[in-house]
Amino acid sequence: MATLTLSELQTRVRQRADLALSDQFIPTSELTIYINLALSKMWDLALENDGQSFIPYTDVPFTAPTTAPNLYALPGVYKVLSVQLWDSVAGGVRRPIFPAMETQIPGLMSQQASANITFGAMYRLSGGFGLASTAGLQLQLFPPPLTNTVLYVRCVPPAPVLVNDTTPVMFPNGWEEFVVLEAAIKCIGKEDGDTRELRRQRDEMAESIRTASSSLDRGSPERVQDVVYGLVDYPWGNGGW
Amino acid sequence: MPKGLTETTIDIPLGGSKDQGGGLNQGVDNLLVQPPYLAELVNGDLLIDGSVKRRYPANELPDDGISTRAHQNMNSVFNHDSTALVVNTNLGPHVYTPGTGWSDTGEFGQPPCRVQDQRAVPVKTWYADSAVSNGYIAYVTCEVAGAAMQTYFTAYEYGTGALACPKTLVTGLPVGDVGFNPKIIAHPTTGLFHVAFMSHNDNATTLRLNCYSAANFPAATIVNTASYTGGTDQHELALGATGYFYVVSAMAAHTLEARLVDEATYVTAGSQTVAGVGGSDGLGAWYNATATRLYVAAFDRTIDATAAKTVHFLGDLSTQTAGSDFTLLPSVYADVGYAGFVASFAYSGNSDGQMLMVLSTICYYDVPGLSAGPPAYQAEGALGQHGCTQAFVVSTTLSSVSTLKPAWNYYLSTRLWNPSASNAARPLFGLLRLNTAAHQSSGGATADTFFYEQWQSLQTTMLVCSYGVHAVADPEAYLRNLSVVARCHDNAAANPQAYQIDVSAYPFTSTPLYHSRLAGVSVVVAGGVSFARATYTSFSVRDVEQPPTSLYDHVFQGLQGTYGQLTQTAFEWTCAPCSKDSAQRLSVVSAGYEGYFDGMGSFENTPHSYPEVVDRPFQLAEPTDVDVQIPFYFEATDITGGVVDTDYAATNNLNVVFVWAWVDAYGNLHRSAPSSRHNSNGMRGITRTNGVYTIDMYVTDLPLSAIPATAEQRYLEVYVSGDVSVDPTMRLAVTLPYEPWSAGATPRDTERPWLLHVVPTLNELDIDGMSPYASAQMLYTEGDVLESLPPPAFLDTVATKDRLWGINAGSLYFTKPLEAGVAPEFNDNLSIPVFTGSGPNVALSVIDEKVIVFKQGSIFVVTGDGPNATGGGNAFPVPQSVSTDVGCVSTASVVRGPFGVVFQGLYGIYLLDRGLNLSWIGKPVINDVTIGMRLTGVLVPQQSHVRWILDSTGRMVVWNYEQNQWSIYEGLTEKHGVPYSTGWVGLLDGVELTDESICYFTQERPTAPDEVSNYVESTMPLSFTTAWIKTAGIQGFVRVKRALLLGTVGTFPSFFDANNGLEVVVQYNYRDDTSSTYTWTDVDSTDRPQHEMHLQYQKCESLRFLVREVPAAGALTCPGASFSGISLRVGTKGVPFKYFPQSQVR
Repeated sequence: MATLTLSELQTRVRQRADLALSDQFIPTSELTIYINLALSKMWDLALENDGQSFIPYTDVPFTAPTTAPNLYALPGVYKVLSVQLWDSVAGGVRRPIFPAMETQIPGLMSQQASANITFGAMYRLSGGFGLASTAGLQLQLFPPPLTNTVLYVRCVPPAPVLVNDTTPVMFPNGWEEFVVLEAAIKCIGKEDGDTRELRRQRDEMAESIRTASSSLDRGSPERVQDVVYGLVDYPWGNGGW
Repeated sequence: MPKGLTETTIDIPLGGSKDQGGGLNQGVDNLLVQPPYLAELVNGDLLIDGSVKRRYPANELPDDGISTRAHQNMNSVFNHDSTALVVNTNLGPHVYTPGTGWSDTGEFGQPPCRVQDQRAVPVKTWYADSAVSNGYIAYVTCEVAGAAMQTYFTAYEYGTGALACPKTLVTGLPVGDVGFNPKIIAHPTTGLFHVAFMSHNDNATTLRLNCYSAANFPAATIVNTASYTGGTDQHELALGATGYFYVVSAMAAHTLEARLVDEATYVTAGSQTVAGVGGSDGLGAWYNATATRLYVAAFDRTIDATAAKTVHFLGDLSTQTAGSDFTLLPSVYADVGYAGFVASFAYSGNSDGQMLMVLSTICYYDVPGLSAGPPAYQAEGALGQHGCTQAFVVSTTLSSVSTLKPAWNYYLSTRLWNPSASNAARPLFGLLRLNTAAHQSSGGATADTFFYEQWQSLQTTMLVCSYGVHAVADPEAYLRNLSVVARCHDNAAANPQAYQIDVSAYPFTSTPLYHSRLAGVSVVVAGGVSFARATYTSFSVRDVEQPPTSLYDHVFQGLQGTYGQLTQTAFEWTCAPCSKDSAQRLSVVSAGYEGYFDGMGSFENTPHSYPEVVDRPFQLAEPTDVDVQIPFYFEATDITGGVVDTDYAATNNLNVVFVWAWVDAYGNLHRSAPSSRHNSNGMRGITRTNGVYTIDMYVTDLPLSAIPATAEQRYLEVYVSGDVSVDPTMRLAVTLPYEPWSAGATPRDTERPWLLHVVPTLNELDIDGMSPYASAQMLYTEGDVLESLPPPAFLDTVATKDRLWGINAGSLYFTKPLEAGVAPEFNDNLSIPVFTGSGPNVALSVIDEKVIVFKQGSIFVVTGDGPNATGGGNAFPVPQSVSTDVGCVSTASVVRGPFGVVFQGLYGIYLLDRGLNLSWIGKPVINDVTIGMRLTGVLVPQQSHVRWILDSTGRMVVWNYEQNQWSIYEGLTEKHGVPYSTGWVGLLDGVELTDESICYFTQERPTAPDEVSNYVESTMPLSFTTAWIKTAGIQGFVRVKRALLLGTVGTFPSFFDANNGLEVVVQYNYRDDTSSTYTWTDVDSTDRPQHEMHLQYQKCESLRFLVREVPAAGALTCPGASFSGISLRVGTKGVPFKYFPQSQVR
């Protein structure tokens, strides 16, 4: 693990791209943008594989829809890992729910039913790109939830945006080099420079990150997910003994 | 995988010789980059190795031995004979000799005053005044017209001297009346000239005020007028606050009136009437802007015969307050009082408003028989006190702060500033010399006999001068109107000899131990005859109580053989080298008069008068019977009691000629023209006793300006022929030692001390042909050799073709061929008029064997060998024209060197090369050398430089003639400089160093790379700007990515110390406002071994670099960086070279 600040990242990019401390062609503010873009790219790389992730998740419980009857806003969420439906805030009974196909939505909504842990509610995600006024990622639950039903979302935030020179960023196993190379490529590319070597190094780094991120837990390799197993009303199996 | 642009490095050298393939215009393939000449270079030089380096630093030169006053007034320097530095000051030269330091002999010789221009405004009386405003200089003058005087108004363009308003009669008085005693005043920018003058008919009735506007020139339209009645005896004008001026009048009733006048309407905005001050004998007035008060000093015999009264007013004339009385120095003779009076004021230089007040008085006593007439302004005798000028530093309440020593026999104080001094705290007061000997004057009842001093010739010079003229220093540091309206006498036929004019400008100090002189009076006389000659003296001020004991402290020699009216003269005090050439090891000095410097002193080229003999004592008791006898006659007396030789009586044939001669420090013989040949037939003055001739005669003295006091060998040579020898040629009979100054010197006539009493004895004469004189040295003019005559004042001098050449406004003069052991000798017959070409002659130079004559608008060349010493042989041909549209505007700008001659023309610097091809080389500095400047140029061969000094800040343009590169030097306040020994010696104006010592002289020298101290601590950072580098000229050009400053930057161990940084500004696309700034300090230098710039606007059409050193703490303490070039890293598509012409590309 390595912890680097924005300032340290800038220094390493300058070294790679042969920039001056107060470079006039790529000023520090522009360099910071490149570093943050590279961080985002590496964020995606780390998320590219399913399973246990180097990216820490966060849980967001909703006791009621953000917008009635069934819309839940997820503004600080980049990607969703799982969605659960709890029977209460205490979560005595918890049931995973799954995305609905667009064609399933009319059926789910026409049942005159309410989503609860015993009903096969489903959800669908949308948003996150477009005008800022359209808000960010949002989740719709089909059918709308019952009172006291809690929607519990486990998600991944977007990549951090570094602003302060002293903000530390933790990189596993030399991954920071990917950020440095990626930012340096953008710097050199700006003046139509030859970035081939840097790209080669970056691609190697990307491959390493992909590989590493797919097996965070070397002792327990990922298995195929059983999307039925998690039903709470029949935890031992849905109809099979 | 994108490959990116091909990167190519392009090196752009900053310089280098042609042989080395260097130079911005030499070493670069212009298919890659268009030649980026250095557009601007400041405090740097383009060296022969192609690098740009900061100008040489300079070390202090020791300056012990120079007086403080010299320090205050130094303004130029020249190199004498490669052995000494001669520093010119307003007071005379000071000499620095290696090993011995600065001479402590102080002030001698001529100051570096150069005749700047001269204008003839016909004037026949003493009244004249001038004022400058809005680009014009206007004069008011008086002229005798029939039985009365008339007042005239004339104006010229100030810069060019072109006539702006022809001489116009000043009108406004009643019909039949005419004005006199005019004064003129003007605010600097209004163009409104206010002329005050008095009625001539009544002499006191009316004071008239006329306003003339420059807007109406050439018409002298009176745009406003006012009249003040009540009987005006005297008046004075003074500038007030903006829009106002003062009219101060001494009324006939012996009251004094002061008026504040609105200059636009002539409405009186305020007034005061003062009792008990008067002013009917003269007054002066001045508005002190610092104190916002009007100050007046006045003298009125009827109120107080011994003291001047003073009074001051608030600026709006709401109050009046009496000031102190200033007792005039008593006359040393009985029955003599004061009548004429002039007071003037100037700032003393103190910031608290103190003033320098100068009071001048003139003595009078009533001459029997004239007592019924107006007061007769009289001298008191040949040795008498005539007038006195006193100066005081006074407070704003007109109480005396300090008193300066008076100058006797002077009159007319002036209000002016020392324009040569950088510090305004150095006012001068100028003086006009009044009298030297006897006089004749009358009261003005008839024409041409007004109140001017009129001297009959008792010596070969005489003076008539006037009062009513105030000298002023204009903003451009030219002394205007300095003196002089003068008149010789009214009978040219009877007294054709000469007049004498003295103009002096005195530096103000609180303890003036010495007074020196202003040289370089140039005169235009009636009839278009002009002459220019230094009036010169060096003297000590006498104690107040002591009347003069000898005129030799004060005598100013004038010029023989000229008669006329002196009109107006302007003097240039700006810095100028006073010696551009040498002959016989003598530095030739053109500054008012033509002179030499021999390492010991400076002196006039040839005495401007020659020995003349006056036979009998001056008859003071018979002023109307002054006996002027030229040629003289001898008076035969038997004073020895011996036997008068009958042969003498029988033959009466002895010819005598006198010649002044002396030998300079280099052994060159200087000699005057011979006196007239005097024959003893019927003459008195020779006694022959027992075969021995004794000559007893009085010979005029050698002019002081013609011989340095330090000369050891000085003679009065006596040549004889006739009875003493059968040889008819004049041969040397006796050489009389001449010692004019010290005690026991050459005897003089007790009553006429300007005459030497010469009593040579000629022994062992042999009238039978056996005389030793037959083999003695011949008079040098025998054989029709031209006599040595003083040339007119020269603007410029050069030496070539075995002669010395000089030039004045109209003609070119040259000496006889130089002769070993004899100083150069001019003669009136050896001259070439330059008739054609526009403007007057300005300068002189030499290219190989050719003499170059510069006029204002054309250039001529003189070739040929010229006449011999008799004036015979081949004459020089008529000057041939080289240029008909380009001339020279500044004498001092002309510099010759291996390139030919460079000079300042109307539009900057031009080169006349050795093939006489003319080119405008000064285009790169056209913004620095502007029209109207007068440049002083100096060749610095050690650095292949010609440097032209631009202004008093020491800013100069430098042309490196090897590299053809211009640069600007600034930051070190050099007033002038000269190449000396290993490099340039700069003349500073007192740079205060951090150790609080003062540095006056510096010498430049190359520096060692690791040298970090011992520099004159002035900020002289290097900076340079390349021309626009046209990147569009690069084939396939896409980007210019980076630039690297090449050179030795960063390799100096201490370049980046606390005082030094570097800044590069890159500008793009021909726009000054599109730029990137790169800076390096000592902090950056630790990890930046190179000065690379990552360019901000890479896809530019053009770019250029401004590189400058940044003195972080006000000074640079290391030798500076050296830059050799700029390397560009360029991104291109394909190769950046065009291998084939485009038409052949397939």
